[in-house]
Amino acid sequence: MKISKINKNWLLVGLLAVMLTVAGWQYGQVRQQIQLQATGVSGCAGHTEKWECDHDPDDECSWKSNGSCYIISPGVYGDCDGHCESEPDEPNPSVSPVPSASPTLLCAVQGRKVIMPGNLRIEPASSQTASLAGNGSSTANPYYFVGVAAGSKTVSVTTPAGYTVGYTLCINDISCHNNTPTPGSSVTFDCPAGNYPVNGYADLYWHYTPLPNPSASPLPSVSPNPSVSPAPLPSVSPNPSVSPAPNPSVSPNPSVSPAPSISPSPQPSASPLLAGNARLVIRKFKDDNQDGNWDNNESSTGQEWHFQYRISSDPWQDYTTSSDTGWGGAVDISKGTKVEVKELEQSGWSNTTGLTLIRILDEEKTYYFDFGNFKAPTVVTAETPVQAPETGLSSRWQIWAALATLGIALQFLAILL
Amino acid sequence: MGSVGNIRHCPTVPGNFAMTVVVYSRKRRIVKNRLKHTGRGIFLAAALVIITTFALPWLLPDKNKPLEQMTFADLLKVAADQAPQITETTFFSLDIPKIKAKAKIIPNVASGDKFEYTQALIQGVAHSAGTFLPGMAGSMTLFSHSTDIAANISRYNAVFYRLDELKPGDQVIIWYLGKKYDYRVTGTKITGPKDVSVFIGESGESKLYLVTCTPRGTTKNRLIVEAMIQ
Repeated sequence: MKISKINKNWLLVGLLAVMLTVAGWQYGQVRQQIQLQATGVSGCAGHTEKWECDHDPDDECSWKSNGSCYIISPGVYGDCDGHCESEPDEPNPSVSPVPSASPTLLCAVQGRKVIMPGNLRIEPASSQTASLAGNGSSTANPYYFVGVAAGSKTVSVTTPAGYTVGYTLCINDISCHNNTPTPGSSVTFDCPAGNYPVNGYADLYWHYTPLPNPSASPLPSVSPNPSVSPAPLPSVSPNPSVSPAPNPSVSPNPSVSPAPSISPSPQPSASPLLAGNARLVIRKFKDDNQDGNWDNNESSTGQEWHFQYRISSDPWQDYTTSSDTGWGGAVDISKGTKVEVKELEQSGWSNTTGLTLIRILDEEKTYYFDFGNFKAPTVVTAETPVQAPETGLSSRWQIWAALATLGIALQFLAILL
Repeated sequence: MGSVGNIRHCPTVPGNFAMTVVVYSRKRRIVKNRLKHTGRGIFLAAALVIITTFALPWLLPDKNKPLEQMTFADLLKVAADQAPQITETTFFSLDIPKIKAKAKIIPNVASGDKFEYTQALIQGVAHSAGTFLPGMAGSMTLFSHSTDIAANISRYNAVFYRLDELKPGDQVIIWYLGKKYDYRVTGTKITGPKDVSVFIGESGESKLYLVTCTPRGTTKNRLIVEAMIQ
């Protein structure tokens, strides 16, 4: 009888411990504000491992599911990298089509279409058509051609007006897409046979670079007179803390400039940089998180911006960036010249990178002058609330204390009986 | 005790010793056992919940990213006569040194929309839509959560947990678009929940109203702290 009672008590304590563990876990989940429900979505079937999402090096599956995606709300899906998308991830290409008799004779071609700089997965790149000769085409992003015969393959893409395109190709690898794209809208390569998705695939990114707004492109005549430009004196700089060091790291947004060697060549003519010259391009971006850096998920401001720039001590010249891309035209000047760029402020926008940037273009490359802005809050009209917001939150520990007292009282009553 | 059961002599006891035992009725014994076990269960469950209520907030890691301290670079930018560099801290944030309240401010939150302001209050302090912004000639109203126990400050992001400790003269700092605004508390008052006068922007003086519920952990009344810009 006594043993039975003890067992009963331990059982009770055990159950409570389990409940406590579950409650603690749920509490932790709430704290992380994960309000996602694991729901099977047919389009996501097969995403069982982190690397299976799409072989994208910058993808970080923050949560795994066994053949499921996470629905955040109806119509919005969690991407493998934690982003919200209006469509579920594409199904991971099935390996099943591989015939068992000759599993090593097939390969897969996959990739994305992105906007430079930053490899942004946005329009108009996303909707471009990628075609694999003899195997059809796809407008999906990422795109997949799975189960194709290994060997020589030709992939081509369409190019929207106002953009140039290049590609980066990795074989059985996914980590080459920050390299300089090779210009061209078509590529032929040898697709290796293998056991996709472990190997036997080509990862092919198409990088679209916007051409500058022709109206924004300064005239070639802006190239300064060589006799005027070189050897800027440090004393010329109005703000020594910003400008004098000719080190490229002086760039106000070192992480912003997306690989200057990518040859963005925003000039319509895409003319190569002449020896002894440097190129400047002014860009404007919408700095949503106000960190002064042009992050991958940040776009242009959607409107034209006006700047003025000055080469050495020359007069100020006007410059305009495109509303669509945020890029302005390219200006070629002699290497070693000091350039000062200032933004002309617009009402309602706040600058995150400083209104003036001064640099010495001391290398034969393209220098990007990036200016970030965000919309400053303004006073809005709002309805007066019926009552003041309810901001008091109680842990309701008093209720539980009362229950504990009740428990003690019941036990006491049992003793009395 | 003897009155609760039947008193009998036990015939099995050898010798002349008379032994009295209390024999409960079966029904009463069952009730007693049930009471005992139910009471114990309720007590244990309630005690565990209370313990976890107080202990879990301390034990679980805080997921809220603390607002960064003001850096020397920030101050330099502000001090120098140049465009201030906006950081998360200097974009729009609040700092009340006395009660160690430091949080970012979410601008233009509808104070009449419970869903909207609940979402905003998870992230920081809410600026009531319809009221003015720092640097403007008008009143600005900020509101945030309060709670009943300190252990839940982080859990509920109860930035205004200690708001009732503010006294006239205490400093309230607001950073907005890279600029620092220094306010001093001029008074406090307690109103009913139907008093929404501070949620209507008053043009004129640059006032600041800080609003939360009072008493702590309830929604009975509203505590309003008024501050004036220096």
